[in-house]
Amino acid sequence: MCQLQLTSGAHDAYAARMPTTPDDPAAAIAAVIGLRRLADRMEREAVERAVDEGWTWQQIAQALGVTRQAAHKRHAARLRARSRHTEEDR
Amino acid sequence: MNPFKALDDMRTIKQLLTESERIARDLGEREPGAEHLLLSAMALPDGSGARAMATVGADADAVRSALVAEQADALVSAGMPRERAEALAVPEPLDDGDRPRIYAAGPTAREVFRAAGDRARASKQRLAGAHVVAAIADVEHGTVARVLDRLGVDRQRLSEAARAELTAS
Repeated sequence: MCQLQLTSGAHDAYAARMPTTPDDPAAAIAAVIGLRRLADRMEREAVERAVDEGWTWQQIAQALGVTRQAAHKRHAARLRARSRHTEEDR
Repeated sequence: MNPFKALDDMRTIKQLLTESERIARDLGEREPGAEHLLLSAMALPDGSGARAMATVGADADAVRSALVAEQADALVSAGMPRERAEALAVPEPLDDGDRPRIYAAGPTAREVFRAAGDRARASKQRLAGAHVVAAIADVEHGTVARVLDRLGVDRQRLSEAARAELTAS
């Protein structure tokens, strides 16, 4: 009981700091989706910068907290396309 | 009964999936969602999807603008200042080069796609854009549902318009 109250109190304190409207789950979830989209885009840009600075896939994967294969699968094709375009521009 | 129905359907399916993937990438997303499938259905040459949407006053540009507005508002409700959110919501096309098309649609797109196919099969009709639009009109939550709300689309009217398109053909 005491534990429950504590948990609920902690939750309320956390919810009070959250910017989303807690009583509208649809809006709260939409905000999460928006952040996820933004996070994906930030990840792409950050990985591109890392590659430009000579990072290996192993290093990028470690920083992202994913396997080397996962990092490669997510980013390699795009980076190849990008370096092709850069060469075409020259 | 059109003896070429199966072939026509296969062509339509391929168009829908390829185009929704292209639209998703154009809008900076790796994986097509139901919203990209809607835009893809509206671009099908049979025209029924675009006509059904036009009945409720929405064209492809309006859907695209609503998607951008939805992303901006999502970031604002996550605590970002509006000006910054609007700048970040402008989509940046994603270029994966000549990566083989693998039809990797996301779960919301797959669900709508399946529902559209079921509708076409149940009515023994050729798969058309309006089948996708009718399936979209039933989606309760998520980006595509919020985009329809944002555009002030009456779901009931959209459903009826899609059905009317299908019985007319």
